[in-house]
Amino acid sequence: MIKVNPLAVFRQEFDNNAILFNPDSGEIFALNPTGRVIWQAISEGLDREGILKKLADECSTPLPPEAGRDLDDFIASLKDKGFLADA
Amino acid sequence: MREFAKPELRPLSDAVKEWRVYHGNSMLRVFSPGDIMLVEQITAKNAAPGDIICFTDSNGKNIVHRFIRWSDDGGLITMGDNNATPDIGIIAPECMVYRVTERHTLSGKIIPVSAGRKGLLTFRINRFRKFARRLMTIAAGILRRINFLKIPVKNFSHFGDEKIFFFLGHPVAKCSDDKNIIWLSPWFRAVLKIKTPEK
Repeated sequence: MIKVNPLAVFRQEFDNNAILFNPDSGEIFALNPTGRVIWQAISEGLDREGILKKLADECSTPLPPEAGRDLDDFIASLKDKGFLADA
Repeated sequence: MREFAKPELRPLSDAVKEWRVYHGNSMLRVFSPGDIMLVEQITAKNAAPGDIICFTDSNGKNIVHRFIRWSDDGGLITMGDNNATPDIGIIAPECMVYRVTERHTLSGKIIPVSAGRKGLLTFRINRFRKFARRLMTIAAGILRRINFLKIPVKNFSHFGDEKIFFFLGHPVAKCSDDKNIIWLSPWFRAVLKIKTPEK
């Protein structure tokens, strides 16, 4: 189970990308649409399978086989930057 | 989202690093939590009293306060509009700070931020408003305790189980069957009085 840093600021931009800001470190990151959907799913409390299901629902094409691995790498990078923590 | 693309967390370029996100209480009413502030990097000695600047304090914490005046040795004295006293530390004139130029609200509005003399005027108005709010709170507290000066309210109407009291045509309080009076505003309570109906 992962939880979101309550201080992290998420802001969706008009082109479906998003910005994530960590006030503890002062760093700002850009998320592509896939990253945005993943962040929103994590904020809603979905687990790994729930996130993959949400991605499959949002995409008009089937998910590639490496989607699960990409998701794990992305979550690891979010944890590394302080946006997520293990509950 | 049309197709799956590998999710990535990309650091923004230096040009877009000129954004800060506001959070905290010291500059509330100037900014709201979550507002994005567009900033420009300047040397502290180039700031003018009234500018809102972002800087890092000695503990490494990011601060957004207003530059209010110069210190005797040429440093910057800053203070949050809602704070009671100026900040303890003084910013050295050779430090690099970020001056806030625009405010982007969560609803998408873009609002220019007052700087210089206009910023100082805004600061003084905010301080006066804070002082006035404090005075009004004290006055309301005193008036609430002085019963003989209060204006009696006699007009009321029944609405179901409740009795609603009116003063100059406006509802000011309500009273349920258990005889507890609920005032619709603390100011009504401060200046008006209702004689509790005898059992």
